[in-house]
Amino acid sequence: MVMLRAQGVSVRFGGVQALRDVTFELGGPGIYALIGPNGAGKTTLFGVISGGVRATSGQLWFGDRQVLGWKPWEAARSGVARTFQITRAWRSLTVMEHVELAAVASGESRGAARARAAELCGSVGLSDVQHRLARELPLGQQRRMEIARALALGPSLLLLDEALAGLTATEAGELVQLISALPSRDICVLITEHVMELVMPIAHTVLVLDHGVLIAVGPPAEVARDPTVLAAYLGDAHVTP
Amino acid sequence: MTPVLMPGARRPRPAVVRGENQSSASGIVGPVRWLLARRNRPVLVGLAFVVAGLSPLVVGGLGWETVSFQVTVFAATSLGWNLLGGYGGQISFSYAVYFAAGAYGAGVSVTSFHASPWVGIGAGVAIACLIALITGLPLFRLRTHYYSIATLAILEVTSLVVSAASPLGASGGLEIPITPYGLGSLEFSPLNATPFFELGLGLLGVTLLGVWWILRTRTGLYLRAIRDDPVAAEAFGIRTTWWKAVAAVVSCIPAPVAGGLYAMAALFVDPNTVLSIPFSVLIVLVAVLGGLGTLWGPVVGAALVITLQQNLALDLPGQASGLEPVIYGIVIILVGMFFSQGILAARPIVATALRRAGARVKGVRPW
Repeated sequence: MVMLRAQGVSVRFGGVQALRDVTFELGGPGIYALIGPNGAGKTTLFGVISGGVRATSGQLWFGDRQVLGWKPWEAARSGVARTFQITRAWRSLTVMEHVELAAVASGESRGAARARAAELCGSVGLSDVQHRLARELPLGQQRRMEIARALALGPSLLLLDEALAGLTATEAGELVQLISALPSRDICVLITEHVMELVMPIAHTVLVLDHGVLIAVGPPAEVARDPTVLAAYLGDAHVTP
Repeated sequence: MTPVLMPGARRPRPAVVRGENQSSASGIVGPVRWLLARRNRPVLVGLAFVVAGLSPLVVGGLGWETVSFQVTVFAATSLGWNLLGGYGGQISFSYAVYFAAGAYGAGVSVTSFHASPWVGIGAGVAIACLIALITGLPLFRLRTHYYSIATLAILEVTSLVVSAASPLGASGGLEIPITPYGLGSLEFSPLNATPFFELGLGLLGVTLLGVWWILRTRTGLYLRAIRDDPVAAEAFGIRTTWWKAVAAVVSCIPAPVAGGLYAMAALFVDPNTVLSIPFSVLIVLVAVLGGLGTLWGPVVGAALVITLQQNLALDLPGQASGLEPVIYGIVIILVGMFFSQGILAARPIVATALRRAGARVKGVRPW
């Protein structure tokens, strides 16, 4: 069954065409990488899927529901969780409270949410710091907290917006390991990244955006050889015909 | 060698063997330490309320009781305000409207319907909740400062409407007639303010308990998240507008009850007082100076601001009486300058000072 299907999605901000006629499908659990240079429209597409950005035209199905234009809270309650390009931790909440809040918002009781939060903090390696304010943690741990918080919603689709940005090689490696285990929880992961090397090894399908247009979709090895993709990343002059 | 602490890590406390330090201390240290422990906080608070409730027997005096009553009234109103303003981050100036709903409700039920003021206070609570809901749902779509400006407009409009409404006494105010004394009629001897103080203290206790309970539920967690980052809150399934409206409705409840008690104690209510901008700002100021988004901030703030304001009005003699607003203003500025996070934020400073003082007395630690 197709989990998410976008058909001709376009977004315009005033004079800027951020997305143009984007059409794609995400199947069941797995890791899908959405790549593209800076300003390609990756975060805008995330916004459309998770409800923060209103599309100018097109259609979007989540399962068999038409969901284009839904609100972020509706998306969250329907099983779409996300992380942010710049981490968004609540200033006065501890790591545990972040995860607990998402569990409560997904409909769990306070007690059950607390137990689940403790378990999730453990599974992302944050047990030692679960009672500290999330804002005080280093970036790598904040990214883990964001993943734990997103998992607490019990999502079927998880959007990771540049989850590896700003991390050291070790931190990025550890996070990649964590992310690659997510499909085993029956989760479809869509991850944006502009550094292709980081996501290519774990993704089973890669979608490439450039200037708001989806220029390639396919397995990583195939996409990496695609001349259109190479041109988008390196410029036409560097691509051998 | 001094152990190196990671940033943010807690400094390990030296182990204290139970009974070792108490031996040289006086017998009172043990119970005090027990009371000050975090887990025994409810006992301490309950004890404080009992002591406060019995205080008129010892301190007494009409002036003291009147001021204390006003402290409880403002503390309760501001505690409600703090739930939405301090924890939810929505700064509203319309709590004076809710306060007035109870004040006028009590007044009108006595003057026009010859009924118990409690009926009017009940109606005032219902009206206040309705206003909070009706104005909240559209206004909470506005960004924070626009929301605050809109609440000022609600205050002004209400003031204008009440000033023109003759059943409410128009701009001249509503005088409440004296009826037989009793708890049902909320009228007592003018020479004894104790009943109003006790009622105010009861309202404060119930409000504190209510706010404390709400903060422990998911509503408290949601409100803090909405205040800290509404975008992230929405992304995790929280309907921010809805929850802010819920908080607005719940948080307005103490204000009309306080307003009703206030009107019955004064036997008079007028728009120039309860629906004025200074009155509305006072409700906000009490929470801000005490400690925004803290349970005890509004109580501490009310104790400071109202006591200062009322005692200056009572105590300054002769020509010096003109200096009241100046002194009041200077104190407010000083508190704002030195305790920008509210007086309660100074707790660590006080705690450190107490520890140092305690360390000088051998074997006695404050806690």
